Amino acid sequence: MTMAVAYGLAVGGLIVLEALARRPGSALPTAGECLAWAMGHPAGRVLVVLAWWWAGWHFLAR
Amino acid sequence: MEEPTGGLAGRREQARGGWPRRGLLAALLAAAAVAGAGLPSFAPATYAAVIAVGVVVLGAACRTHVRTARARERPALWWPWAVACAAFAGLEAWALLDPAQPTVSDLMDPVLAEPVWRGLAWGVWLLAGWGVVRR
Repeated sequence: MTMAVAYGLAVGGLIVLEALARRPGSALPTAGECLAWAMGHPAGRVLVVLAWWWAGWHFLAR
Repeated sequence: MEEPTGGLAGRREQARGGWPRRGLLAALLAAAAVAGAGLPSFAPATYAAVIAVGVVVLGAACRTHVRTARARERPALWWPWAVACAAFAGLEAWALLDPAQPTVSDLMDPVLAEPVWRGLAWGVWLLAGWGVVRR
């Protein structure tokens, strides 16, 4: 139960960050802008793909 | 006289070809999601499917990068995202090291056991992979 709450808070934090970033005039980048920056570099691109793949493995395969 | 392939004419042509292509991709995505809904956890076919999709997306993402690579400026306030992602990763690592703690997928297992939600999860995952390739 404690872990479920902790995961919920972590996911909630990500949602709050995205909402704050989408406010007009916000200096905070959106998740998409951070991803775009990370994916501008070869290593970042591979890391993003691996993170995406891991999510599929974790939730769908095992 | 040849028709121009770039500029406004080219964009119009691309737009005409865009919707059928998007429709086809949406149909393929829906079919893959339906197929994924029938793949249970811990099954060799599921392992093979996830690995195969991952290899295809990794290859396509690297090829796309060669075509479109351009350095972007690092956002000034990137660190709140890093902190939030690190918190999530820390929780997951803790759960993986301590068998008494559930991982996020352990918590989601009852939901993903339902074919409808499992198919939806496959669809979201594949759509995200498509987004990674396109970016």
